[in-house]
Amino acid sequence: MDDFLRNFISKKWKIGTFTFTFLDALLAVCITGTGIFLRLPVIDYTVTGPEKIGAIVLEYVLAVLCGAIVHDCTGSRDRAFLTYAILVIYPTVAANGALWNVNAVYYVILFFAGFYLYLRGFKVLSMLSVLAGTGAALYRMWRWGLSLNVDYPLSLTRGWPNFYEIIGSEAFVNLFDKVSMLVLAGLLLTLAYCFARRKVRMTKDLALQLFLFLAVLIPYFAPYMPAWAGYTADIAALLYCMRRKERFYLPMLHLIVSYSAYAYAINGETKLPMVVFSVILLGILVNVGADIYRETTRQTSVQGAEQ
Amino acid sequence: MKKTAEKTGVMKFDRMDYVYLAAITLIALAIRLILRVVTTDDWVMYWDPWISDLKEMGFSYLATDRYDYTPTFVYILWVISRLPINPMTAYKGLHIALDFVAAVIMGKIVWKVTGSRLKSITAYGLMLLVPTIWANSALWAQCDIIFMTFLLLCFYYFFEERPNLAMFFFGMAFVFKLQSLFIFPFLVILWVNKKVQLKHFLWIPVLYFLSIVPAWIAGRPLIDLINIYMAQGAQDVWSLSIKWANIYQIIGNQYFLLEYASSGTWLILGILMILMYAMARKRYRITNEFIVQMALFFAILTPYFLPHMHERYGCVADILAVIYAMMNVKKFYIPLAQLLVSFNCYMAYLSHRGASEPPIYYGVWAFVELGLLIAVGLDIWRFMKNPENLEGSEAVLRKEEA
Repeated sequence: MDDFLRNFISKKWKIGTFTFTFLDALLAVCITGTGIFLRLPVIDYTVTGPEKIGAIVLEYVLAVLCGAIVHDCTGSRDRAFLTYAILVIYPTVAANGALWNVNAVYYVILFFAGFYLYLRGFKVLSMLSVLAGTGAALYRMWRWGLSLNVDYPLSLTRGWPNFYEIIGSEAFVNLFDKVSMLVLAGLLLTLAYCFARRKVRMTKDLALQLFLFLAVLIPYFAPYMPAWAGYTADIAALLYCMRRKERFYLPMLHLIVSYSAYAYAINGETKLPMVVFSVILLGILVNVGADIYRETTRQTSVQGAEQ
Repeated sequence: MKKTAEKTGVMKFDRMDYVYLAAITLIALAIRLILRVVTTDDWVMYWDPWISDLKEMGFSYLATDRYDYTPTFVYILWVISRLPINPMTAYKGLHIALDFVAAVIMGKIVWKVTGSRLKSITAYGLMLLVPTIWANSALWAQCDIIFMTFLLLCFYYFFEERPNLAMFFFGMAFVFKLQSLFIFPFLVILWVNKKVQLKHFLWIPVLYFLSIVPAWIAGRPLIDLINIYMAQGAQDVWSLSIKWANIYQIIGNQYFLLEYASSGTWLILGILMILMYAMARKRYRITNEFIVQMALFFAILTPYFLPHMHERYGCVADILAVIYAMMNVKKFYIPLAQLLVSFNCYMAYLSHRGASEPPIYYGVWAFVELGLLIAVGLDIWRFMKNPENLEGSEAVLRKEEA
């Protein structure tokens, strides 16, 4: 009986071209259920309506989509499956919808869909998806800003531990909110110019690194970022770790920062000053930025050699 | 040490470059236009009353002792007082224009020392985005960009191997700000290594003297004018560090005010003497990168130990750190950390924190600055220890000794 069970759990099943073991199926079912049971105890903290239910469903879709991205980037079925499993129980993802009813997944999923479409070669659709996501994100933050019911914000950050936690978030708010957007635009323009000028070959690795870099960079300098501004980067860091396991600390650290920001927004306090998290984010930004530089140097020389 | 190419030819741009340059210039201009409306304490307490007096008294204002900046700066204020536009707009407009001039010089320096068009153009863009640059001129209404522009010209002509012109621009920088002396020891090292002649140093007193002549003629006593930097130094002595992240933020900046003010000055003089002795004992191959390393090192070191340093006194190190990273991209963290320290000190003043600490304590920033000092110091040490960098005969001698 023992041997039968042992063999049974590791026996390979095949449906079409898809092969899996009983253990795979067991984890898939159990983790999916765990994701639901993880959300149930906190779901009553905010009003549960169709928007929240839809968001929870989309969080599962997002987990599948990210699994597909990892499969595309690594070719590893195990890592893809692991990505799905982790994302289903990812604390910031679960808390964002079920607990807090922010439901950022509605626009975040468009970023990842865009990224997936890019990897599959559908560049126009990818661009449209990212643009739609950006529009939805801006609308969501604007609507949330309105709900705060203030004439003019008193702080440059609304919960995300970014650059303004370091330099002080309450000085020149009405000027720095515009200036920071211009500086950010200048930085992105310079980045785009460097890439275009060096004729960098855009590999999947580089695309993933850039995706993560931008997901960290933009909320780091953009003004009025809410506590959930690291949602996209949380997931992107996990995908990056799946591609480069030596970077395991990136999703770990980002998740800690992100959930601490949630805690600060929801509970009104954190155990560490927010500025500590800002410095951690800066470290992540530098780390990923250095990875991008190394990769672009490699890809530029490959491109040069090919020519 | 990486060998860097030298370009003397004219840089050619294509359409992509023009688009980038136009876009980044517009962005930089927009940043400054947004910030130009801020009226800071420095404007209210100094520049505005000085300009009002200049309007009222004309050039005879220069005979008074109501100003403690060098007369050259006051001549500029006199011109502004004559203009038929809002003084603050004229004042900030001039310094904003100089931001762009400095960015162009920065681009030319990077082109000269790296030979890379991409780096040169992005150096122009980054210089305009550096927060301590736009905050200094457009927001704060400060005038550091004037002497920094001259310092950049000084470096440019050193890289062009025209030391006479380089020292002329150093002299011009000194005419506007005493802080230009932060990097003076590196000029001595250049002199030891035959890159500058003693006569070139004459530009410093000559230009200074010429600059004070009009004020002297106007009626201010010569001794007053010669001692203007001394008088400046005697003000703002209420703390050993006036919001700059240096050693006094670690050991305490409110105790032994008088004692440490004097001892601290002697201490940094002693440190500089020891360093100059160590660096002058041998002749080195003076590369462009070594020049920037040395200047950056002294730009960080001097305000690190000098007492009464203000928030803005990292500005020379800020721009040198950018050039340094452009020459050696692996050192990208140096400008990143330097600018973070520097801008944090700016904001501590501009956001009217008073005596209260910024979100990250000054002591932490002071350790970061110390880390930078060590990092750049080690780079210099490695350069000096590399036998390939010793002047020809020394390298042979070393081999014989070995």
